[in-house]
Amino acid sequence: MTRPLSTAALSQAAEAAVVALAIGGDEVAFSELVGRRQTWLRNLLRRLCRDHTLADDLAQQVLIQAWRGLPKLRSVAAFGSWLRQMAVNAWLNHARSLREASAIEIEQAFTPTPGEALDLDRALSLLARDERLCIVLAYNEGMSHAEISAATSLPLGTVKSHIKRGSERLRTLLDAYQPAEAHHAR
Amino acid sequence: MRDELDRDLLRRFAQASEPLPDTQFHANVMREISRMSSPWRDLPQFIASSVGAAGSGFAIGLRALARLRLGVAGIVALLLGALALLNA
Repeated sequence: MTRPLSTAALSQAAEAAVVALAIGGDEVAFSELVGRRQTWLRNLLRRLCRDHTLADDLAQQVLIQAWRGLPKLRSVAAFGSWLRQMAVNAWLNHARSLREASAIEIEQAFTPTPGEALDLDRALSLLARDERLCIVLAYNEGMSHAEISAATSLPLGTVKSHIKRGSERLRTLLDAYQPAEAHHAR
Repeated sequence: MRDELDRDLLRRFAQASEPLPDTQFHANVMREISRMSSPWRDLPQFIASSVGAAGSGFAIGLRALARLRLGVAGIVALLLGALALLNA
């Protein structure tokens, strides 16, 4: 097989072209896609997981699964959403296998004291699993409620209430625990 | 109409998407993929399944011959016939 694009040209090429080459079995093209998408994919899974190492392991699994499944990809333009769906499925499968502890138990396990910095990932980790999933897909991925419903198989009404209650809870958590410097500055 | 989202949370999410160092992660993914794509990757499995298939075919043939109750002479005749066909 001959590769029509050099490595340098690949880095300049539109994603659709790189995806098309990767579908044809071009490992260099897929490596380019990994380079382009890794930050986004790992950040998405870090928002969903409570553990960055686990997030990276899942991201690696998703990319390997993507390499295997690329021939089945119907449209090169759908690569991003296809990858995102695989990430959501990987995380849900993992979470279900662990039968995650309830949000209340987790909150009791590491509730910070007021004045302590509470970053977004930590605040997200205090939400219940499905609530966190809906919040991340809405705020991090910019997906509509209907798209989230389709991606997660949750009813639309449930998605709406998860986002409404999750947003309120997240705001409360983030507002209650200000970074130490901001707290002293008051 | 676009679903309404909290503006402050939108800002916080946008700020939290930091670039992550990718060298090790990228190398790990591509090493796994290269291992999967190696032409020799399936060789041990191929040899094992070929030997297994040949062995099972041979056993089926022997059992079929035994059921025919041809006796030793009949079996030898059949084997010779098969050999003659293979050499033809």
